Amino acid sequence: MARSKRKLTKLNAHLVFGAAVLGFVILFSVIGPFFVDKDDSLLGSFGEEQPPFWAKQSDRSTVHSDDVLHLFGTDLQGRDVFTTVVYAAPQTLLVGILTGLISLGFGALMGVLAGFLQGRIDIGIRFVSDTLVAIPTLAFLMVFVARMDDPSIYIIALSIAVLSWPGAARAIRSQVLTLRERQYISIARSNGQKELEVLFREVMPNIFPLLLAQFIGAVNGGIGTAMALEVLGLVPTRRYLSLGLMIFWVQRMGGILRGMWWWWGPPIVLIALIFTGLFFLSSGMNVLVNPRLASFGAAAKRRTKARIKELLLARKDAAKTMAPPDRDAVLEIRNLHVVYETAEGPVKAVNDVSFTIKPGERMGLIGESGSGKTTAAIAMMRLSRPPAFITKGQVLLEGRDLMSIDDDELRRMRLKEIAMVPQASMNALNPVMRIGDQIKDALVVHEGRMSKRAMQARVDEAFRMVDLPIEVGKQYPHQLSGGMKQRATMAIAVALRPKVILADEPTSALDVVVQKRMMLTLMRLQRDLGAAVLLIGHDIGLMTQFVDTLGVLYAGRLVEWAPVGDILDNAYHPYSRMLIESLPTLTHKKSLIGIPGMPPQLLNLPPGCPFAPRCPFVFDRCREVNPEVQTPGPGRQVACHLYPSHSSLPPLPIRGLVATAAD
Amino acid sequence: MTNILEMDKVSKIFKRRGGGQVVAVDNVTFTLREGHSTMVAIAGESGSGKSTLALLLMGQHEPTSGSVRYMGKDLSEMTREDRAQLRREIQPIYQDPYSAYNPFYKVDHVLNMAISHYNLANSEAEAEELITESLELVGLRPEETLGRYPFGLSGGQRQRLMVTRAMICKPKIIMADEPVSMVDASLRATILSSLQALNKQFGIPVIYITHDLATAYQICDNIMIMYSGCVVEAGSVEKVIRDPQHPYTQLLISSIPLPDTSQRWVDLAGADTDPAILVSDRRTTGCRFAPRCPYAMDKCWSTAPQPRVTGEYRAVACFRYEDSPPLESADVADVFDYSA
Repeated sequence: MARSKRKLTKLNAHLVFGAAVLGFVILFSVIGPFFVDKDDSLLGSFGEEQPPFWAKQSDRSTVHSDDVLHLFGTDLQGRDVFTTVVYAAPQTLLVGILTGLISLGFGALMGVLAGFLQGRIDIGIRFVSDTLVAIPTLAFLMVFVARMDDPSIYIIALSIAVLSWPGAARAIRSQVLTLRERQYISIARSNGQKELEVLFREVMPNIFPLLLAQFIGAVNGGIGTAMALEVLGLVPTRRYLSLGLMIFWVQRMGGILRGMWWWWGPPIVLIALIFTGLFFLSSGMNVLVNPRLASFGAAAKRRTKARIKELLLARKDAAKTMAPPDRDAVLEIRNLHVVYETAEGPVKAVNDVSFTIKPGERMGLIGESGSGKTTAAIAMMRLSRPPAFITKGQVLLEGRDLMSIDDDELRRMRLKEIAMVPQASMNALNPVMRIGDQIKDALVVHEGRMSKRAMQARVDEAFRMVDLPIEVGKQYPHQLSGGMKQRATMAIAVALRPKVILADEPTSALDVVVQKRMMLTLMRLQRDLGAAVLLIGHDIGLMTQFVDTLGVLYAGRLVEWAPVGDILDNAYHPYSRMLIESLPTLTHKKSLIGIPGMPPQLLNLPPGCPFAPRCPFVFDRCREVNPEVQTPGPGRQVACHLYPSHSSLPPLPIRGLVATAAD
Repeated sequence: MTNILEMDKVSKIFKRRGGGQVVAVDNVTFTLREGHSTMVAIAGESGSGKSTLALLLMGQHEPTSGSVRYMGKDLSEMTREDRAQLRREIQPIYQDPYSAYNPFYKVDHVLNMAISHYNLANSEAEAEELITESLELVGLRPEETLGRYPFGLSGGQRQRLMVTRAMICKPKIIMADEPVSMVDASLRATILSSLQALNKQFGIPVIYITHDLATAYQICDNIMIMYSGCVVEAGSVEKVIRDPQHPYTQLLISSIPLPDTSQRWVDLAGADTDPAILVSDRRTTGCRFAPRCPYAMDKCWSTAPQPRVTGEYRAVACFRYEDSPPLESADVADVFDYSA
């Protein structure tokens, strides 16, 4: 199943509309000449002396007979406007296409050479193109073209292209530069492919969409520039007639002064059609290359807003009849559902997840990539952004449901009651603000005005909590190392002494030594604040070191939940057990056993347990019914059909042990 | 005994833009010997110089000083043909299983390219047989992998396919640079065991570059621990990882989060009381680890320690083991255990 093919067959509306409009103009230009006589057009009398435009209508002889049907009427000399348009339109398209071909052909060659060969060639090409870019195109062409003697359409296109190729060259060069760093280029070399072959076989196919987009841009630019020159009368030619030149002649012959709209109207309509077509074609192409753009339309935004509101109302309704909150829990997640709306259909990223965290407890949520762990954490803060939607569920923070309260109240509770240390949090800091000011901002928003001294004391305290020197407050994010930035984000998160901290892989980018130090800080901080922490991650070792209870996510479902020691010693779910067994240890060498198969696609998940295809214990029921969460022991939950008929997980069948070879 | 790959007192210094320099690899001597299909781990944190070392070994970086030789030939004096041979015989496996595939082609492309450019098959049927055989060795089913685009496969499958590709090229050395660090935990084991299979079945030495000592311990025979461009400790994994001697190796191992509740990190009142975690501002011209070392002595700051043989199959570059005999050759591979 090819994604690129699917993308191409699913044409978007812009692309279809743009192609249809342009197709109409092209068809008009191609078929038109078969129905009219060139001599009837303005072009036909280009050789002849023109009567001055101030001549009265009665003074000039009618050059042509009136027996043809004048669809758009006639000009001053009685020449057919429709016929003139029919001959002018293809020339306008031609000047654009010629410019596009020359500019892109040369620009692509230069861009690819510069990007792929680099070194002196790159410097030389860049010098020439930078110089050309610095020349004001239109002004230069005005002077240059106006001095020509009866130039042909090819000369005009070439003149424009000479100044416009650097744009294409630059875009293509930077794309080639990115592509040549891809590992598949190194792999191709290791496969014995020679440089030229690497360029044509590995690099070029991937710049094709860019070439197409650049071509449309160049055509657009070519038509626009040519038209500007033509309309202004700076193209002294009788060798061709384009829509731009037609407008010039209308103006020159007094058609505009005399209000002869039927004369200048048709070329303007055609010009508008051409630009409309090109615009939609290029915007459609952009969506094709970057599908995310599709959801930025105004209508899509309105629909999204309505959807969010509707879901909020539904959750409010549900909250009215909810069971009373658990008094022992600081955070209670009940039946949380998060769905990603994609073009292929809804993806259930978080599917009916429930668990509770006690005050001061450290809980871990472990899962592999795509298991929904980060999506769940973001949803708990109600920070999900489209295409992610919280479709159902409650998140009770000390009994108050974050999923159904009003936006203002939610804003007050975030950071003060529940805070998040996000993944790759080095990017979560504002780069143009001092670290200390970022904390002060949070304090002012949540606690109102306070004296300067009290404020500074709070900021210093936040830094102390995360083991950062107080001087860091005066620094900007770029002045800090990765570990220090991570601590700075943590300082912002804890400055308001939240009751719950969600830490989403806070150490994923750090080396082990720094990671340990960071986790020890988080541990102490958590204890000092008496806050509960939900640590999200994929490393069982790190979880073991930090958390009290552990939840295991698989395919958006919580498949097991128990004290971490119990899971390590005696996991109930086959997935948990196999994940633990697949870990390498430092104590003894063993043969490494992985989990066979691959994680499921969440789109159109088949019925039954999502782990069934990889499970060594699988039986018929697993493929039909999704297992409900059960409580096989105190403080333990598992979603697996082996229970309650078993009291613990039987030894792994031999099928699981030979998984490496048979997978 | 001939050496396949030799690194003789190699250093690599990168000039920083706007002055200054970074010593990425500092005076490393290391050989890979013919007839010993050992799996060697080069381990260290980011900035330790382990990846630069790999690029030097593959001839993709020129050493600033010292020499790298492949089959006795100095890389800097190689002809175009020699380089082509080097490129074929040292096959890489990279970290990112996503960008290793050209998204324009089906995954078969990388295998077909290798076969056609290295004339590994005389007919279509022969090529197909070669691919099928190689896929089975890494535990992949041809019908589940071939004919698909890269995004249709899991990270684990993609990475094992990369192992297959390297194997098809019939290399003399496999250079695996963090091959599992971007793959989910449940899929790592299969990739590592496919690397092991390659090593054991064909006797191809593997250089495994990693920051993860647990996987290094599981699959490798020997290990070099790098810190700031220097090899600080080397030897058999059983010795180095089970009983680390260099303070840095000790720090690394004590920082690994073990999945064992009985070995939890001590939750001290101040995390910083662990002295090895502290970094001193004092500049060092001697041992690179001195600013972080809890045992740093005066001479550590001024002189770089030379490697010493502290027992069978192990060597350490640290003044705390000055009583042990020096490693005369300076070649850390001299203490490797080849019995496996």
